[in-house]
Amino acid sequence: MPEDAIQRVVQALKDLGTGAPGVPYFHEGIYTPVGFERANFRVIGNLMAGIQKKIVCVDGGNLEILSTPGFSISVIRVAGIAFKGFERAKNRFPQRVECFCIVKTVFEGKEKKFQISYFPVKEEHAEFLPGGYTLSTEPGRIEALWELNLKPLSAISNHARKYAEWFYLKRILEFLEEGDVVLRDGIFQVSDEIEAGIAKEIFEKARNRKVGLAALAKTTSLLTDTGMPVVQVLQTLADQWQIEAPWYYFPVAENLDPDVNADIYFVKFCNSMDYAFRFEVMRQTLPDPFPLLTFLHAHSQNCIFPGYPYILVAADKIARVEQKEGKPLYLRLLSLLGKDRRIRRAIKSLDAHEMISKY
Amino acid sequence: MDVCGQIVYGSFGEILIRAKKDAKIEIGSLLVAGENPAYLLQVYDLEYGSQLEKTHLELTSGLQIENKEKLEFIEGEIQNYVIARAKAVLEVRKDGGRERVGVPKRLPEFFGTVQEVTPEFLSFLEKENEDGVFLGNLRSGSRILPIPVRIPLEESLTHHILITATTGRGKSNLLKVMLASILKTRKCGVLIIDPHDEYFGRSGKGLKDLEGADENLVYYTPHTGNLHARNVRRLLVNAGDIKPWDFGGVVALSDAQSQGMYVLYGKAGEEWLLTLFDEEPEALAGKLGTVQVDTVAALKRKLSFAMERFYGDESKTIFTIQSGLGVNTISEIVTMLTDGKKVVIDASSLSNEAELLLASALARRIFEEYKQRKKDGTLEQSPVVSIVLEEAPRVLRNEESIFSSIAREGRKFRIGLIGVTQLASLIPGEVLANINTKIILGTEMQLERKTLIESASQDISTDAKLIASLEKGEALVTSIFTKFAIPIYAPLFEAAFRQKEKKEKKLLIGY
Repeated sequence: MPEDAIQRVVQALKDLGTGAPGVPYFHEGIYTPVGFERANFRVIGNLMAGIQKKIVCVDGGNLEILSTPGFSISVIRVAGIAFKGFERAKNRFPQRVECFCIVKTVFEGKEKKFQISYFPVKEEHAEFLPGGYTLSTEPGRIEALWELNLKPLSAISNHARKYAEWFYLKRILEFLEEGDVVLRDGIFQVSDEIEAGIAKEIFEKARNRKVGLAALAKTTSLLTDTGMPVVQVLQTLADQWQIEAPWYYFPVAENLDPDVNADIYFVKFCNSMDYAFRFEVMRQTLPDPFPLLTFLHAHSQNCIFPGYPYILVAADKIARVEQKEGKPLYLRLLSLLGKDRRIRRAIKSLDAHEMISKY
Repeated sequence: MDVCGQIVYGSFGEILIRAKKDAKIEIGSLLVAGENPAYLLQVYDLEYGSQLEKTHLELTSGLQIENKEKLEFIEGEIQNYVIARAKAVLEVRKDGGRERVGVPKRLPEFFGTVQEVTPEFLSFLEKENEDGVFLGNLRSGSRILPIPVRIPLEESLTHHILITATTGRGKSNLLKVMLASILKTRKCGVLIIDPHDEYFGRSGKGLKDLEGADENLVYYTPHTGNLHARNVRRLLVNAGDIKPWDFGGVVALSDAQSQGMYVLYGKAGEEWLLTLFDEEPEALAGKLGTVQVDTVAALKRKLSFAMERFYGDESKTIFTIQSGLGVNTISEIVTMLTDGKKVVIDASSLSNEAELLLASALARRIFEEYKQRKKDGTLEQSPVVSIVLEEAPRVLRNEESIFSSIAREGRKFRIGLIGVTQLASLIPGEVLANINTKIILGTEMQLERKTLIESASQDISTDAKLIASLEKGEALVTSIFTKFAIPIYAPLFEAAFRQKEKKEKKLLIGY
């Protein structure tokens, strides 16, 4: 690459993040932003003694195995890892469920829809997975879905994985006791009607069973209205105001949605790492999130990812579907499906990249 | 058996095992994989394993040691662990009620768990060679198992044994333990040339204190002093019993000197040494005719020195030229050995050459005796005879030495050597190859380890670290008579007495 072009790129980004912090920017209407204030930074306690209950972290992973314009096959893995303090706790539900997922494109009149079907790897895990969904792409129903009309089916596989995560979460609530907490890897914001439906059931069920719900996202694209990432602004402000991690920041917004009730926090657990995370709590299920924050801070003092709670690392590890797992499954499916010339040709319509990359 | 690890990867001869937390897997540990067939695995190397990348670990370490963060490994036992490299050394297959033990030709089950070996698993070893030579107890890493390791008596002694280690690693103790285990049997005679006078037990506990010593052990010493036991004899050898060929490999002689020696023996017969020492070189050269005066003078000087005639006082040397004294010693010793007795020669006050001369003379007489018995057809009924040689390379590297001949041919005549040395590398490869049992104690010297590994009866090419890590008393036995290179611990010889006194369970199972 020419050095001068790189220099010009660097120059173009030089002033990024030097402007005014602004206020958090929310596209949707349910959140009203709150300006940044020093008083909203608070220190997270060091003692984990207050956490006696089980914390279950739920995460999921998926990998598309085979794709044609008309259907896509992927592997989905959903996991729930439980800890009491630093010790793993036993679950009465499967720690990990796996399934194959087929996403098919179907047309009802002029409307394009996606049919999602789940095929559990172990039949006894079927009750922890949804049977299937049909996702409509009709413009105006859910804005995000309209965009999907233009995207490959692999994008729908990600939706399918999210549904499976939600479904699994809903199911395991039945095995938890009052005071236990489910920590979701991600956020509570939903992107379509199916998610919204399951999430609503979950909030209801959690409230009834007195199980806390929280979420921590390892990445966040939340910006301020001056175009700066919120995590960057908060860390800069913390430095300016000489606030040392572990801290949490609250509130960044007021939640006006009567259904969701998710409060957004930002947390930083490790001073020497440049990582802060978006953390959400379903207020009605977990009125006092501070013992949980203490737990997460203690779990963040780990060597694998300093500053990021170990329980999430552990859940990610078990839920992840590695790329290398895909190839043998792809070959197995191809050997069976490829016998049918029509299907073989359908597969060929999307694998030209793969062919040329062998060169 | 408790699970201590799991096979995660590897190949034949290099099986990688992830060790379970707190599993005491060491270099040399014996593990068992599978059930039928079950595989006995031996660990030969250990290394750290981690789910985290090296640079990540380095960063984390930096955060810790530079006091930036107080970090720890949550569930550290899952993230970080020990990987053991092992090789399969035995395959044990149960066939009906029978156990078939053989060399592994397959890999144990992939991802199978491994357990620490138990005495029960190795019980087949206990049954082997029950009247053999006891070497020590089987060892798994530093864990000593109550399983005696023995090698077959007659076969192992006639196929020669080498005990090798650096100083202080327990060579002498091991030899005492071995000798103790065969003291009672008359199936083998053993000649022990003892340069440090440490086996009989002149001033402490020794072989003399063991059961059977009165009948089967004889001690020859130049200094009988106040030792009046029935089995103590004064060491005195008449020069008439020493023949020219006994000097082969003992004294460096030129061709002329060697020829002169044989001419003299031809003329003077059994009195050849008396003649050499009594007469002036000029006169003797004149009588011999073909031998130069200078040659006679040099021969006289060299042989006098070897026979310790430099004292000027005949009572100080074990070689006497006085008629009638010590005339039967060599034949007496040979008779005892061929009768299955153990003879210890106190060579502590002898010069190196005198010691070798005596050993050489004795070895040659035994060799001659057994050659004759082979001709007579009586050899097979005779006890095997073994000769213990300290600092074995002194004689084994010299082709003229009788010991080199025994190393090569002794087996045919039921005679063997037990060589003890620090420097196996000085022994010629051909001789080393003829020594079919090697007991390797700790040695730091790489060259020595290499020599031993290359000449071992089993493939121990991966065991350099194992050998280097051997502690006092720990050894690796590689032998054509063992199914694999067996790690052992030779118990302290003195401990047998202490335990007997305390009436405790004997550690020396082979006694």
